[in-house]
Amino acid sequence: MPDTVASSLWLSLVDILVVFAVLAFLMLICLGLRFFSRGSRDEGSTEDEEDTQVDAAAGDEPASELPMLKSLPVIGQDAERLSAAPIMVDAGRPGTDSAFAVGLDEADLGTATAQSHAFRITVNGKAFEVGVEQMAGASPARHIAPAPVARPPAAPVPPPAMSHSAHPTGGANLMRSPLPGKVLKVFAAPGKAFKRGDTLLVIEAMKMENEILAPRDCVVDEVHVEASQSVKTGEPLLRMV
Amino acid sequence: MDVIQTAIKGFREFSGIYNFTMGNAVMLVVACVLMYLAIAKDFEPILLLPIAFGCFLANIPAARGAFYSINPEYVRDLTGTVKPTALLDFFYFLVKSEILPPLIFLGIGAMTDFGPLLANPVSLLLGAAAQVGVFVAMVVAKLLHFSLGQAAAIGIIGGADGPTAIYTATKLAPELLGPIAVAAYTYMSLVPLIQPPIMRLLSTHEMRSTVMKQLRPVGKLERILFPIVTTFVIGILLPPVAPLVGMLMLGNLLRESGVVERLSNTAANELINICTIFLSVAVGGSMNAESFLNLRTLYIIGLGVVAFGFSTAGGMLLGDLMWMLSGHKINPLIGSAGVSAVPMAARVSQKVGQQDNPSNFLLMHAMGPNVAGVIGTAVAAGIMISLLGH
Repeated sequence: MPDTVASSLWLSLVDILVVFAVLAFLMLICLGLRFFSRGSRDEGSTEDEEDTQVDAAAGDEPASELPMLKSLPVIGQDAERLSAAPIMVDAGRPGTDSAFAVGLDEADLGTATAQSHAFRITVNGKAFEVGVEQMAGASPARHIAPAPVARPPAAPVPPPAMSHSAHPTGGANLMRSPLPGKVLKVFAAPGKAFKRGDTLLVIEAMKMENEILAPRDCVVDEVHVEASQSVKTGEPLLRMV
Repeated sequence: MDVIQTAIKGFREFSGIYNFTMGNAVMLVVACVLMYLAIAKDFEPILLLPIAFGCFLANIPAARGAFYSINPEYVRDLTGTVKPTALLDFFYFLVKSEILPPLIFLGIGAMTDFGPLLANPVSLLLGAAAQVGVFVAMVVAKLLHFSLGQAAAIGIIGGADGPTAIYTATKLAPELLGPIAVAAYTYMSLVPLIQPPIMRLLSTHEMRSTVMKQLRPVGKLERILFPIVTTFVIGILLPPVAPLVGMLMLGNLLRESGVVERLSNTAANELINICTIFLSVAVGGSMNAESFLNLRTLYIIGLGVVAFGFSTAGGMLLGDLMWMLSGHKINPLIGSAGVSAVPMAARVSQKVGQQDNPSNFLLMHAMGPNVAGVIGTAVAAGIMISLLGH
């Protein structure tokens, strides 16, 4: 190639076109990969379906099990009544051998133990009756309903997943992590009042301290995280009154 | 009396004082300023501190004789038979022989999360748009009477990717390695100063306040397939950068596979740190007064700013276009993160975005174009090397 300005212009033009072509090709590959992996079970790719309400609990695991819940038939004469209420799943207490409770609200919260095998769960206004069976040697996370049980008992009990239609303010009061990282500092404490723009928490991501600011004047109800804890995107941080 | 005179003369010649030049003095001051910036101002100290100290060492004449014999002639010798003789020569040899940049890429791969890119593949186009500065700087460099190979190597500074810039320079313009590496690494640490004015100029308040939809979680299968497929595609299309991209993707595969945590940890921590020490000391060592203090270096430093500025503008303009086409869903600020300074450029997007909308978190969205920029710069370099390399 002759060593002239013209050839540098020519080279630039060719180069930029090829860069765009190669990266656009890679983009198609990415889209293809997404399509390709959609079928595989451990993907959690259904999570971008926006009507999924049970995503509040804890990241990927419970949500990836939703398709199984949805595929179950709606049964039970209480289905109408249930559809008005949010799902209530209690994670149980340590030492009670996988006990957990299912109910409509605090009033008729029934307790079920591992001996009872059928549970009714309301997801997004639809009631499902689900069976739980103990698989020999399988990890508890494989079960459909008791996903909360799989979490270590020491972890803070995640708040019940709220249906936005039933509790219009529920979503606005719950603050979720906007990015994955490590909680550095927690300024929020239950009962503490904050003004709009005050720093509630500091989360470190990409070696950068990100301040989570109060979206409005508020009083903190409960804090779900503590310093030096890792959080995922969408994990509940705190609840405001 | 004679004995004393001989002794003094001998000492004068043996010690550095006799060979000390004004140029050395200037470079020692430059080295001290760089060290000050690294230690007191926290300007990318991981890179800048060893570079500055290497520069310091290379400009003490006697110490250079003992530790370091790189000069322009030596660089030319390297293309033939090479016999490194001093400590820093060995470090430099590792750079020159293309061992260190791919190993650093291995570490970068092990540290990089391609999740944001896979969740939002359109990021790849932003990563391509932010290579515009490479080509602008190249044409301007050619107008300033650099050779075509030198112009291409200087242009790659605009990709804001240190290892790729060094890799390209060793292939196309080894005589400019010092200034190019210094320009690339200095501007990478100056990203937070260079980018924000351009970003504000090329967007409106409304654009910058755009809140983007949360990224979808990316499955494990996608994460594992991506490095494998990308290596194949880049390797078959652009063999010259197969070592760089291959190592980047190997590092990422080690990370994402989840079965070789020990290897992935070593690549992301100890290995990349060791390579960074060798590389940065060797780069600093190439900044001796004779080869560094000239008009050419000033041109390269100046062209670096041009390249960075145009790259930022390129990413922003495509970001603006996407903002319009997507119905105000894509924040154009993530476009400027297409320059591949990972993760500095993404942090800048986050900071600028938060100034306009305090509850906006663009960091993870900006990581997509950011890692795409690494691939984009490598591709641009690969085309240059395959068209101009011998």
